[in-house]
This record gives sequence, structure tokens and C-alpha cells, in this order.
Amino acid sequence: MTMPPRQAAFRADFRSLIAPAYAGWLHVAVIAVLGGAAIWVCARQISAPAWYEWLVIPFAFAVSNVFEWWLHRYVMHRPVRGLMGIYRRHTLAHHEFFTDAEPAFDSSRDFRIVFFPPYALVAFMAMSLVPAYVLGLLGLVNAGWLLLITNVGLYLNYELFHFCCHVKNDGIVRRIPLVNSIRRHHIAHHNPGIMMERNFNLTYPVADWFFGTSDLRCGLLKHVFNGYDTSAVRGDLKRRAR
Amino acid sequence: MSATRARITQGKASLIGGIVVGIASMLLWMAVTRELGFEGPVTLGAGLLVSAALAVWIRLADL
Repeated sequence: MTMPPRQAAFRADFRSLIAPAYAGWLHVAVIAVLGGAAIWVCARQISAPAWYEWLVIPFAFAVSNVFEWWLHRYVMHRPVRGLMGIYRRHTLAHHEFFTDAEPAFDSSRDFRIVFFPPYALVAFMAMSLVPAYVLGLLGLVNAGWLLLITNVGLYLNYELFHFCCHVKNDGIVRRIPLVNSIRRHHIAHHNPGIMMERNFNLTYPVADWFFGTSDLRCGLLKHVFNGYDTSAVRGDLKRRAR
Repeated sequence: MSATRARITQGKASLIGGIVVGIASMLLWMAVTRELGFEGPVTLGAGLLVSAALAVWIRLADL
């Protein structure tokens, strides 16, 4: 597919406005180092957790998956007062820069529109501190640290998978289970005709399957391990032709 | 000002974001160096320098 002229014009304009001081790989390094350091420090605090404290991991995974879906559907794609910056950055910029016709970045300067700003990671860490503190007050200190590790880990997971969705050469990612599924899932989401109503997960399409917002008509396992297969894509989608 | 500039320029967001990330990185620096047993004024000063540089870069990069 060739890039639509509107998308090409937006890319040229957007790139001309990226600050000269911006460095894509430094952006990635800041996120990775801050997240990795937080995980390492939290892991050092864990001491002989009880078996039931480990249950916080699947619980946090489920809550994070739904939160990721909810945030993408109702904040990143809806103009919400007080959160307009997120809407503008995502719907009006990210989705203009990347479409299903051309979903790949060209250079590391394009990371500016791929990865969240580092303060988003700090915000998610701060949000996770509240339930972790409550768990500590309840005597489940290890569960609190495990919760922080899981949430930060899933944030890094999100960024990594999103990067894999927009990388140009898919020679490697198309062969990695889970990653290939979310890549097809997310690129389909970049079709302007369905972006407001389909495929909001960016890690594992569990909430999309559960809430019926996936472009696939199949079970959970098929969703998660679908890869590039398009045989289960719904036939009633309002895809916009390009 | 073009429509694209209005969409991507964050202005105050990168200022606040830089300060927030600078503070968070300083806290993490202190936590990491304490775990490693490298405490003291030199370590603290290095952490302040790194965190301040990071905050300034985020502002300059309008990130």
C-alpha cells in the first residue's frame, strides 16, 4: 500500500517541528532505565512472600489489561476535559502519522510519536504506589512490591510491543508469538474507519475479546495467538478504503 | 502557527514533565545507590547532576 498524500504531508510537517534536542534512543533509554531501576529496587525489598501474595500478579495483570483498554478507548480517543493533551497527541497526531496503509516509522526521530513521554511512566508508578501502600497497611508488604513490579513491567511491555507494532521490517517480529498477534491487531486499529471502536489493547487483546471490541470473531486463545492470520476478521467492519 | 504545531508542542507539559521526571529520577538514584551501598555527598551530587540534566533535556526536547 502506498502512503496517502495527507499522511505524507502530516509526517513532513510533524518531523519539521520535532525539537533539535530530541534524541529517539535517549528517549527509549530514559524509559528503560527508569522502569528497570524501579523494578530492581522493588525486587530487592521482597522477602519470603506468602503463596497468596503472588496472586497479586495475575490480579494486577487483569486490572492493567482492562485499564489499558479503557484508557485507550475512553481517553486517548475521546476529547475529555482536562485530558485533551492525551487526545490530541494520540488521535490527532499518532493516528495521522501512522495508518494501516503505512504503519511504520522511518527513523529514531519518529520515536517522538511512538513512545509516551517519560513523565507518563512516572505517573503510572505514582498511581501504583497507592494500592501498594494499602497492601502494605494490610500486612501484605511483599504483595505491594510485587504489584509495583508487575505494573511497571507491564508498562515497559506496552512500550516494547507498541514499538514492535510500528517497526518497518517485520522479519523478526512476525515470527514472535504474542508480538505478531498484537502487531496485526494494532495495525488494523490504525484504519481510520475502525480506530474509534475496535482493537484498543496494546499488549494482549484480552479486554478487547472480553468486551467485544476486537475486529476478530473468535475465542480468547485464538485472539492471543492469532499472529497475522486474517481468517477470523469480522465481515461487518466499517473499514475506510484508501 | 500550523495545525500540526498546535498538536505537538506541549509547552508547559514538557516543563512540568521535566521537573516530575527529574524528581523521580533523583528518588530512584537514591534508592539504587542505597541498595548498592554507595551513599554520601559525592553520590548525591552526581544524582542531582544527572537528574537535573535529564529534566533540562526533557524541556529542551519538548518531550
